[in-house]
Amino acid sequence: MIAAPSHHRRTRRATPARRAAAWLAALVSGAAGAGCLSVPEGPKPECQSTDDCDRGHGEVCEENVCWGNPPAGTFAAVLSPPSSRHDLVSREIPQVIIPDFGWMGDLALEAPVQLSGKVVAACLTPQLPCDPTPITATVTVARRSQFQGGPGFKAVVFNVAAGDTFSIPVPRTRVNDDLYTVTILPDSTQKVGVRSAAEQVPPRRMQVAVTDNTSAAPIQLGSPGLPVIRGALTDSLGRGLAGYRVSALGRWDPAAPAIEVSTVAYTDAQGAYAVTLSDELASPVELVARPTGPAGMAAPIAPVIHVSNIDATQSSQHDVTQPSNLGTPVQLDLVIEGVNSGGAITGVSGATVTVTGTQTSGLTSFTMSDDQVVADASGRVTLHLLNGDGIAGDYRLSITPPAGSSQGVVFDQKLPSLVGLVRYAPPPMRLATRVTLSGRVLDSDQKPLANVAVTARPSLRFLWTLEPEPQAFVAAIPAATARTFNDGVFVLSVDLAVPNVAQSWSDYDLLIEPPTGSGAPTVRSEFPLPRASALDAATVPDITLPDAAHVHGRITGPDGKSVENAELKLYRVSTQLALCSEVAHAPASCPIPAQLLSRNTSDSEGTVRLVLPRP
Amino acid sequence: MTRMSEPRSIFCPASLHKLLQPQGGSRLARLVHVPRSLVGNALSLMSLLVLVTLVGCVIPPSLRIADDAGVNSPPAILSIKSDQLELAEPKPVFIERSETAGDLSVSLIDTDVGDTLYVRIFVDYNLPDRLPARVKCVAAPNSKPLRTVTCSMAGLCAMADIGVQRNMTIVVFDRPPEDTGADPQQMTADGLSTGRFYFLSCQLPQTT
Repeated sequence: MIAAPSHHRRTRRATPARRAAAWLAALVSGAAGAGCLSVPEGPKPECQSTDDCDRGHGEVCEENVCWGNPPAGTFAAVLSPPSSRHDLVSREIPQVIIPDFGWMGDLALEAPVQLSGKVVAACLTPQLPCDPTPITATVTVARRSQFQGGPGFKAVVFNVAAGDTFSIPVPRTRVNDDLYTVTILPDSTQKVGVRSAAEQVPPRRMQVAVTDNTSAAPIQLGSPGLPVIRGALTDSLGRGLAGYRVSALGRWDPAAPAIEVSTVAYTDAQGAYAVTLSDELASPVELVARPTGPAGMAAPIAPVIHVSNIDATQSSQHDVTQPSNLGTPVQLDLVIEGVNSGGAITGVSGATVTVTGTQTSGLTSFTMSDDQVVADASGRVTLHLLNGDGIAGDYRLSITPPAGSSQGVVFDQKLPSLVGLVRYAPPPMRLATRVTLSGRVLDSDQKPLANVAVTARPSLRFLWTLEPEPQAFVAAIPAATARTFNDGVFVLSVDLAVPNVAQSWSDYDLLIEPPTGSGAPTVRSEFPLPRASALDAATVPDITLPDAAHVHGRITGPDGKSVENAELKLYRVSTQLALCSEVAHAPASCPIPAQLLSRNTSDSEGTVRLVLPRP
Repeated sequence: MTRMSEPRSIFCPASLHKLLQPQGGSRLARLVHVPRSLVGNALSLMSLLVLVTLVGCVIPPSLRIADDAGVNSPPAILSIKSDQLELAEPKPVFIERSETAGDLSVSLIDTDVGDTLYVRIFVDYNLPDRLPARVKCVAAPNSKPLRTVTCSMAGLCAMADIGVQRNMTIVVFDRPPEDTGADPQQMTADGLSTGRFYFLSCQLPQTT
């Protein structure tokens, strides 16, 4: 919680400014009145004295701006130091109180404590004396946000060299704070003749409190007795599949997405592999084997092998035989076209084209997939797949046009069978045209507002109604963005629905960002597209920006001195989590983000000024 | 493109113009918080202004963009901030795929206050193909050199990028780039651009 300074102090600061401004205003108006002084028109001052402001709601005039009368709500903030200030670290403020007069007081960054260490591989043969081997690893430190939906804390040190010490500045852990989660991933970069760190030891995750600078003690990865998954990959004739990169995907936290939680192994000439799991894993793991090529060479055209539901608590054997009906390589030549704004048919340069087919047998599946980006205006793209009857009749196509395109997406579209073919070139594929979404942005006086950035993104409600696969697809579509013309009108191109997914009508969140310094607040507005099977255009009702509430404060260091170029992000915190129970596929942790209301950086006096929407 | 002064100005026009504007955050605004010395200076300034207006008219510079015949100034990137911190070149930037990808806040400066600035984020540009930008956002003119634009990172990372280090280039253009074709970064001849380079590491969404 931030303690507000006395109003007396703030008013005293403002007095000389108001006096000087009043003199200037009087002089200018007098001179202009004499008919001699011609000045360019600038923004009209909002006030010259507090009498010009809404005193009844606590507003005060300073710098020709009426400060205060903030919107109601629960606010939280994140303070971030400029990148040059290594003596400071970002800080979350779970509750920010904004007084009626709009001065938030001093917002103090804090000095970091250093989380240090050195990553080593444990001796895996304890009966023999050995020194732990320094290894290269990436270290991630994260902590859950201290307010609902906040960004939390996260810092990453990428590939700390073997033998080097890492030192990560973090906010000090205080009483009742969550612990930090430290995840250490050994480097898996493949080098000729050298086993990578990831081939020696598995990743490790730890929970730590950092109450003071830590010593750079060795952190050991791996230990004797961890579960091992071993086996062999063979083709249908029993020959070993060499050169597959094998690892296990799993999680320490049941609500987190799966990541690599084992050592990495490359199958030998007999197809043999063995991977060691990390400890304290929360759920069964999935074994994944990907074909790789020799260093610098492309991988062979072969399926990725998945074995699911493997017990993570004990060692086990999993031999996999590739079925004989996956076939041999087939080249698929596609041409992706669309109609441009001039009505001409052109290739859709920059579109990402993905084709995937899967054959499943019990807990084992074989996935053949390729994705490529259309490189030029010809729209041509070439993919490499397999032509066996066990998979070649089941390929599905997805296409994501580039950012800002007026062409629509393609999802999960069945391709003609490629069984027995060596090369196939279907007729050019023409993408549907997106829905033209237009609207008008008005200021609080109902006047059109130009140069406002409008960005449309799928709403959380829409995303979380979708199954995981289309959900991931939609979330990765580049956001559509445009700016308003002088008449306040904006035009965007958006997708009406997810193709081949029933009842997937799109809802969009519109982010309305007036130009910096305009004095108008940033707002969000949800707009569901009309439920129609065919729709060329839709019009958003006029968006009237709310009145702006101006608030300010001063960012300091722990010593109370002002900090320039520090950033303040102010969030509105919502505890309304009903959405998660209203949709079918919300993530288990229901990560509804807090609404970012405004962000700005501090000036040389540490003063930071924010514009908030007043409902 | 804006000329900063004109020969016909007879009295420090830029300074006068600034005095007549709200100066939140400027040096003048800070000075007016200093009690006595400034008030004294302000009085001197007022006296001078009165004197000048008695002698002749003050004709400030035109700020109309149409009058601009000067040389185009390049845009510059002041800072790029993720939800948590400022990105330093060329450190790996960790971006999650999908709706938790977050935003980048890009602070820009261009003394051509009428220019629209176009921000584009390219991944592995020219490696081997000159592929279109994966993220586009626009900083509209606001009559001031400084502006900030928020760019959604949705669409920056594809599935094929997970676990692979890519090259990410963030470029700001002061003329609309072609966006497609043989060179999506191409602009009209008078256009200028500035970029920053980062290594990009795409990740699956992390919820903790």
